Amino acid sequence: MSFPQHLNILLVDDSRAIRALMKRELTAMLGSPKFYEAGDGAEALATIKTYAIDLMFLDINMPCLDGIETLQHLRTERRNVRVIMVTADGGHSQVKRAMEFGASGYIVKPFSRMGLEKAVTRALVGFVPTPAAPSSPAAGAPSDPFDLNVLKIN
Amino acid sequence: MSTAIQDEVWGFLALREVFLHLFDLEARPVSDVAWREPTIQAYVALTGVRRLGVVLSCTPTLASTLASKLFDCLPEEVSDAERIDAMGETANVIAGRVKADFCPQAHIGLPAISAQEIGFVHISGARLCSSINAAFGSQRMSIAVYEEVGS
Repeated sequence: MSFPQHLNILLVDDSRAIRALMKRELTAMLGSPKFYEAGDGAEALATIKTYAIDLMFLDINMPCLDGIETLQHLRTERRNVRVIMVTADGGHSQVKRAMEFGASGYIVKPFSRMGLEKAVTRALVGFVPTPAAPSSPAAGAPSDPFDLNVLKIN
Repeated sequence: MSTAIQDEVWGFLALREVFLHLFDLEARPVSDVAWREPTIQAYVALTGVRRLGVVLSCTPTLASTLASKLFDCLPEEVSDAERIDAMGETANVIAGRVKADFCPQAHIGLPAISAQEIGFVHISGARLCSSINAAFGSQRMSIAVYEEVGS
């Protein structure tokens, strides 16, 4: 299975342990993606405004702003990032809601590497990498005024 | 629902699968003998038509082992916060299994963690439905499922 190189991946989970586990599994699968991390939905929304995220893993059950609410915000803001929901809930009722809000797929914890690979493959169907550099700010995001590379002197 | 929460075979198989997938650890069942070690416990509530509580109890040593597997480090390098994180997430995953099989419409709460010098948390107003004891080598753990009386 070949995947696009240099994906920007945002891992959103209130458990740092799960983020660490996912990083290892995704690195083994995808080579060298660039990871961004968020502990809840609000942090995720802030991150996605700043960086050009290609793929997002979004935990459903989180404090503050949960995964479903975060997904609703993303769609309201018309952000088309591909989202894979992550849940311990094998009952699937919330996953169904997430799919209605345009999630690309889901994985149920504890997930296998094969399950993760299937979800990523499905989520990246038709994916065209953005021409921007891997860690560049998202389009429309304010540039850093202290970055000498963007400093203009009139 | 044909399977009862009291079904220890179901409970052990669910636990075994979770631990194999998450930690690559093979659990073996052990008898419910008195447990006189300090424990770390993670509690997750399932609320809906039925109100259930899932309690995961581990020795601190096992909690460190679980965290070290998730954080890919040595057990002695694990911090308290990492141990709490690993316990909470493990209880969350087990609660997901309980929900799927026994109360699909329930909402899974966020995990709460407590440490006990000896013994276990007892949940007032709830009856113990099931208790599964397991071990990895000499390290003990148990999972208990409570149901609120009258729910």
